[in-house]
Amino acid sequence: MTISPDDLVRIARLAELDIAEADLRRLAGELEGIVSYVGQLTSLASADPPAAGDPVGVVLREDRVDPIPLDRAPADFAPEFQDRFFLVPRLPAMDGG
Amino acid sequence: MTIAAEALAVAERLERSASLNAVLAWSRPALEAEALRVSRIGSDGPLAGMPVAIKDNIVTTDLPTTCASRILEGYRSPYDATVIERLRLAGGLVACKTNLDEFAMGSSTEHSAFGRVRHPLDPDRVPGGSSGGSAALVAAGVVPAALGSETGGSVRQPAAFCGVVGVKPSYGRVSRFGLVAFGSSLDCVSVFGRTVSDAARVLAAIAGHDPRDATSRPAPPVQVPVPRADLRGLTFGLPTEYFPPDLDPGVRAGVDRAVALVQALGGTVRPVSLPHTRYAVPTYYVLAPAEAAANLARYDGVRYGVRRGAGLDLRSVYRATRGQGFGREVQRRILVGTYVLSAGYYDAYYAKAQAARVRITADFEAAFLTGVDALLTPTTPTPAFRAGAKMADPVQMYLADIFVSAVSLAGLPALSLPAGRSEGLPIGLQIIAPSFEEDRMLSIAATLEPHLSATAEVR
Repeated sequence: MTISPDDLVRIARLAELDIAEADLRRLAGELEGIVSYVGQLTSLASADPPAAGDPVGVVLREDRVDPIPLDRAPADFAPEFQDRFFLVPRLPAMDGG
Repeated sequence: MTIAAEALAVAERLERSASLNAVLAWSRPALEAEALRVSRIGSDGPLAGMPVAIKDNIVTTDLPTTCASRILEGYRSPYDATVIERLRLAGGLVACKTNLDEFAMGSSTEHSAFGRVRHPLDPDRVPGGSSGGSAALVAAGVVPAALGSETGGSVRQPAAFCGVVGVKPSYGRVSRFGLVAFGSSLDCVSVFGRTVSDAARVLAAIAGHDPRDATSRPAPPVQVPVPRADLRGLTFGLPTEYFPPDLDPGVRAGVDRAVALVQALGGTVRPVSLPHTRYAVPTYYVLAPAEAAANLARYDGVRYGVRRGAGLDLRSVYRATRGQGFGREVQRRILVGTYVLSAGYYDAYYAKAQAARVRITADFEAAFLTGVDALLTPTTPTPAFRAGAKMADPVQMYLADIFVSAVSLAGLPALSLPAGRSEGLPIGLQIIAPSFEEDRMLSIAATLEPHLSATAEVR
């Protein structure tokens, strides 16, 4: 499996990560090394379905949302907060872009 | 000693150990406030003033929680983790927040955004990771116990490197509420102790079902172990796959000596096979990054943490924040996780890894079904390595976890016990028990501990 700098740009876009141009080649090489190492799993015969987890012993709480009491308000830890809302920049599409 | 005096003594030890770079946050006023609070709510609890260091991926309201990442620099949680609440109720004292590999991703604590942690016995070496700060503080005698977290060996491996006890409980034994999520099907709050008893006391205090974590399970409380007179009636399995020809000779000598001790104490020892062991590290490095890619999507500069890309549109803010906020190893893992989950590759990697996890778990179950009470293995393939030795090759770093990752995939309890030294560096013996058999595991460890002369040279 080869991973080119172009492949890396595509994956980074899916992951919402800016990668500096200067790092593309190094990161693509590292990713290729990791993916080829984990690729030894392909020699395992498929078949077994993945475990669904152990339903015995899982204790579900009542299906109700109780807010967790907070020691400090969101305005204290949010980058931008106003009138009970987290402020975010505009999506490009909303500018017609 | 009163709790206030204990807090003062911890402050002095923290100051003296600053060169380890093991601590990310502490202050005298915070320690004094903590001592006051604990003396009000739990001064006569089972931990009675025991200072406990906390890995900085467990949230606390009084001290910042950064996960050793620039993206959370200065962040203060609006709530405390369940384990913090339980620690205080038992009389424990939150001493400080400890350094780690960023978001617990690493095996040497060199991937911290705030500098590497030094090994207490040799500053040129690593303490292991990712809970390296907690391990180093216990080894240096600053605190008798510390909380770490495990996703794939992040407490047992540094415990072995630093010569302290490291206990990973069964998945579901301890609440994950307030442990910053990395690989949610694997993450476990875990414990370091100077002794088996110290670690067991802390584990007993924090364990138990929590309605705020649906994966935590009701179970009888963990008992602080009483050493047995001998190990008669117990059968120990030695998995052949954990003793490869290239195992470090010092590690082999340390584990051989411990196995001879088990036999001298009347335990039966026999070889067993865990045939899918060789798939454990590759399976881990598909599943953990896949879960990390999903869990770390929340760091986008909107609700908390650092925001980068002022004046840009929303997607550009996400990308700038994450591109500048995450360090190299975290970026690599997010990219690997995104890749193995992406269309066209999911079946080849993620589905295969899920199937491998089932087989790895079945190997352990089969071994225990043959009448084996616990498994004995080396915790690590080598003693602590030199700083920088594995930074250029991520896969070489991943292989430092070769004997610890299978246990995490299977959700089992396991413990690393100091088993002597080779050329001055600690060796760890790993004891693995069936799911929710912590009491058996701790009792075996407490029985071996006084006989193992942890600081003796083994060859």
